[in-house]
Amino acid sequence: MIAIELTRGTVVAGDVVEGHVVFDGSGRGDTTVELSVLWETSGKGDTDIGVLHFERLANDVGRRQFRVQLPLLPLSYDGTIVKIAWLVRVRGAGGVIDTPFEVVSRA
Amino acid sequence: MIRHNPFSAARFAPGVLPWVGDGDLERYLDVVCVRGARYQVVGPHGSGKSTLLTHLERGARQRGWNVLRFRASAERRWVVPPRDTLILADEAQCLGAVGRAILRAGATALVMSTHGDLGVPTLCERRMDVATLSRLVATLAPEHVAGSDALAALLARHDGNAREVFFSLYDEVERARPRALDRT
Repeated sequence: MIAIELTRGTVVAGDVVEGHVVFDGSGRGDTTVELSVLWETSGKGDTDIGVLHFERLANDVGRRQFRVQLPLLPLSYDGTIVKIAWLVRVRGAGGVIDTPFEVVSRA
Repeated sequence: MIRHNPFSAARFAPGVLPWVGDGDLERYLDVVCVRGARYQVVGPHGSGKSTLLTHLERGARQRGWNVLRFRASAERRWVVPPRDTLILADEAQCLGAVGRAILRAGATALVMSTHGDLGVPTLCERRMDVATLSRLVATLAPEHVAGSDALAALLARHDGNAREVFFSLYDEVERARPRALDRT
């Protein structure tokens, strides 16, 4: 079992999103997992995606900290036609775990 | 936090949902993954033709076939069929007679999706029905309450186009949400 723990669920654009990937050891045979920080759109059109950070982590017992500086754009957006969601995503043999967070303007 | 809409386009793009259409996918693969196979999948917009081709693509690859998938309406070059390859052509009615003849002559195996008859045996004639639509809606949004009468009416309004029905349901979900000033 792998879990993502975010220090804050809302981050100001340009600041750092940080947290931990927590491994309980149950999937140690999977060798590595992929950690990414990304935004993606959803709505009635095609999906767009931007991967800000990507790294492979050894799938071992324990907690791995991550810190990723965010750009100023795009901000999270909850529109009717299009939505922009920021996510910390862990992909392993067991599937994909998405943990959303919100990116807001400083003002 | 962003409130996801269960009827976002990406959630029902071809191949994302499990196959719930009529017909046994394995049986389709049995007849398609044969040298010399030439078939068409016929149906209107939003009836699941591309979805079927996507599942055929996945299944054929699992059976060890090379697969070439292309959308005829977007293709701007001649396709010379590679050897030992199953060709899956979306919207093949957009190819001219010469293009289709090249495919038929050169492909190891060929399945074309089309809105009308292209003169090859029909693998499957797609028509979206209320039962299939209900299962898809239940898969996308188990919490969404839509009676079969309401879905039948939506399907009729959109001429059997499931994609348009999902977009209607998308709008319905958005309208039901509390509105904030910054939403567009």
